[in-house]
Amino acid sequence: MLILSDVAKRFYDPGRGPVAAVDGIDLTLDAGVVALVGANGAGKSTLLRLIATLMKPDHGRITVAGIDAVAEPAAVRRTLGYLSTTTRLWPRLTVAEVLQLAGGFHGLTGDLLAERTAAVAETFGLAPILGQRVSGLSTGQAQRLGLARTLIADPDLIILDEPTTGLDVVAARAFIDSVRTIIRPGRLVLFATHIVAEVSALADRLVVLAHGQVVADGAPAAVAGDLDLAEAIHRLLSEPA
Amino acid sequence: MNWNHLRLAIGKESREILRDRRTLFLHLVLPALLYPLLALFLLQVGQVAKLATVAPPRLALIDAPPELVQAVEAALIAPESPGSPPTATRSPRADAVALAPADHAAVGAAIRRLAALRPSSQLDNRSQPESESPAEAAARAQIATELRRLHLACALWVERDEHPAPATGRRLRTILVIDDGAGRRGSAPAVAEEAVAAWKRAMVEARLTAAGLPPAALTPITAETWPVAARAEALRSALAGILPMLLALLATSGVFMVAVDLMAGERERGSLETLLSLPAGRRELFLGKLVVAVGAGVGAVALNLLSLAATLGIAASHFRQAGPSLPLDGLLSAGIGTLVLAFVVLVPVTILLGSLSLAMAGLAATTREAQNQLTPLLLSVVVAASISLIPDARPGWAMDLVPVAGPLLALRECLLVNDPPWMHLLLALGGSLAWAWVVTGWAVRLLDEESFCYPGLVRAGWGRWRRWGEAPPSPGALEALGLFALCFGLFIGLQPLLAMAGPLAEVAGPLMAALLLPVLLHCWLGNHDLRQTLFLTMPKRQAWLAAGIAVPFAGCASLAWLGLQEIYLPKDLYPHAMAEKLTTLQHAIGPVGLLVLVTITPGLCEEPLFRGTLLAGLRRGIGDRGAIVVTSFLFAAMHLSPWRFFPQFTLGIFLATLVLRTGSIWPAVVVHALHNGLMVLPFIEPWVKERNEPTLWALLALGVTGLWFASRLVRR
Repeated sequence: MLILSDVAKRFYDPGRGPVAAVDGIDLTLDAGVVALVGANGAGKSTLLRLIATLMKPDHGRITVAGIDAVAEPAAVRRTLGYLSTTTRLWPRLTVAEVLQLAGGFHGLTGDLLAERTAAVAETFGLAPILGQRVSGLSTGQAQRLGLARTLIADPDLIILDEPTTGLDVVAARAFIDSVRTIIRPGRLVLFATHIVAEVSALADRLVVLAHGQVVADGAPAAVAGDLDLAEAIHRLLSEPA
Repeated sequence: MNWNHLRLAIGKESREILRDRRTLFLHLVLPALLYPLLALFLLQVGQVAKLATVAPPRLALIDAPPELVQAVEAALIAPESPGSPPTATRSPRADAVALAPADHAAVGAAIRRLAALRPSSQLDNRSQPESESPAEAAARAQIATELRRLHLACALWVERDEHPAPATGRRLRTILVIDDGAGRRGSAPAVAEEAVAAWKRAMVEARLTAAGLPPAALTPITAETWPVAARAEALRSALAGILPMLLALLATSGVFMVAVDLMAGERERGSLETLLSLPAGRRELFLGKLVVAVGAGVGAVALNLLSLAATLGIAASHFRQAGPSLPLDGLLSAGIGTLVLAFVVLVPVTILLGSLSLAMAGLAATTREAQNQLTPLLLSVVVAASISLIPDARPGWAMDLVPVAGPLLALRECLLVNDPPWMHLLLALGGSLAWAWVVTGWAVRLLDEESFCYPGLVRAGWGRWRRWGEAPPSPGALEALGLFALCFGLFIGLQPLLAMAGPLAEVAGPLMAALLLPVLLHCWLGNHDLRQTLFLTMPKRQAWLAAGIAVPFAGCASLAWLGLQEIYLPKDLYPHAMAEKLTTLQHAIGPVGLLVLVTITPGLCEEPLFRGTLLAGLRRGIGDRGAIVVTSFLFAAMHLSPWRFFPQFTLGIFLATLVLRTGSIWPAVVVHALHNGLMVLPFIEPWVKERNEPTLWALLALGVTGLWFASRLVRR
């Protein structure tokens, strides 16, 4: 599904010079739910943006469903849905228009588009507010619409970058429940988070990033070992580079 | 191009703009509403002001004879003009007042005192003396004081003479004193001058009659001026100065705010990352925004012009009812041709402005920053557009290619003259579209840059000064165009300087110093890969075969163009100076030397710029096909001669295609050199002139087909 080979990405920090945000990552991810955990600045968002073709790697190769992300970025974007805490929707469009726009760009038309719009709206409880403008939605509704938007074409790869940041406890819980509904055979859900409870609730594989490198990779229980998962992650992230 | 994605992008951007009612109202609707509102305001103010100024300016007559008093009374009401209301309803132009005897004497004495100090001139005199004595100054001040005390705009004084003028033949002296320090003089001085002129005329006619001559002897010649153009034509000509600038400014104001909202606003609202994560091509996304921005610009122009025309029409009809007619009421009859022409010019200019402002707004992190960045662009447009206000500015082949200024100047010329310069107009519009194409290509690439989506990323630097990361193997489109602009400027500037060193330096010097040297220097400083920027690789054998086959066909095409231009282009466009220069060179260095100079030097010096850096840079920005067309256009334009434009453009298309297909610049250098050698052979010109038109068209078709075939011989 997703193969990363020696992927590297550097940024320039005026104070520190070139900084390796992603430093030679090799990963092969198949269907399932994969949690990406790391401290602030560990490179989680950069890695997800590289996969979503919003950035280009300085080095290495990324293939999604066999398609090279650098050579054919638009084709890669057709196979995935990307939602991050920094992405917003168009406030002047209605809920239905957002879903139809995303579906249209994924190649859905006519009855199929209408059918998928109705289906995802029903799944995420958006059916009653299809005609409402995005600017009038609550934060939780907007985030559910964001998730619905990524699923409109039923892609095999879903990328979620800290999707519950900014949501209250109830909305965050509802969102996690929504994510559970999108898990299906053949689909990879890759999500970055700071919240250990989300890892425990959703992930069947955990990748811990520190200083742009993978420091742990495996099932959450295997990564935790004898320790509590939160404690294990804390220890991994506390180790010096 | 994915048309469905483009349709979706246009739909999304249109909805976003149409639902942003505040921006829409403030920048599109409000300006259009301002014209009728301001006109209404001015009409109301005018009426109130009219009611307030009930008293017309006062004119006093001092010692005037009865004939002059009658003439003044006749001049008080303006003569009727066609279409004006009856005299009875019209108010007098001034009020001729009778002064009390004491005031009459005081004003008369003051004027008489000044008249005694200033001797009578032999001719009518309306100017002030350059210097005056203290006594004159005192007398003048007293007159002014008297006029102001009596609220007079002016006073007409006639010198008392005991002997009537007709009998003695003596000159009578009249003096009109005007309080030119008072703003509200109105028509009073004109009334007095007209009355004196009428009195004078009556007196002369009386003298002629007394001498036995008819009054017509006074006017042996009548001078009449008749405007003969149709009203729409006269109006079109009158609008020529202001209309192009007005169009540019209205289009700019319509485009700018929409561009800011669609680009910087999208980023500020946080939806840019969402949009870019969708599987839409960057080109479709940008074009969707561009279509909406251009639509807003054209819409703003249409709304404003309609509003302006309707306001002027209403104002004109109002004034027609209330007073003398205005020349404005013919605006609506300006002719559909004028409007269509203006629209045809407007659209490419708006596309260029739209793509430029979208790209610049895209570089800003916030809408406020975008507005700041677009302000210099707005000023540049104002400066470029104001060229249409310069009375003596005329379109030129180089000026046509200047963004905004070229098309507006061509439009003004089309409005001014009845034989529009179509070639200039076409070149200017083509130039605008080419610029828009280049900017659009750059902006599309910009959308693909990660620093566009995440502007917080720090740039790495350029070339040898790069701080981190690897330099791109070839320059970007803007960088390449910047280099072209530098080379072009050097080329133009160095020619007159090097001409002083002799004809050889004049021809070869600019090519080497202005074209070849900067290109090599740029490659070295920019750390660019010579193989990918200048295509300095050895080609396959097929490429040499294609080059060999292409030379005669390139010659055919150029000869055909030259022959056809003999038929179609005006003779004054022929590059006589260049022909003379070649003759001089031939005398100086001999025919073999000339052949070497016009073949090897241009081939070696021009190719690295046009089929090297420029082609490599533009293909990164606008793709292969766009790069081929734009480099060929610039290659042809740089020869600064309409006579050489089409031959060079055709050659440029082939050479650029050949370079991209072979991956090497050397075959292009060889074809360029041999083609030039063919063109200066002595028998060519007479041969061309002997061909008839069908033969030349057939020759052109043969040349172009041969070149296409030759380019297909090479596999990429």
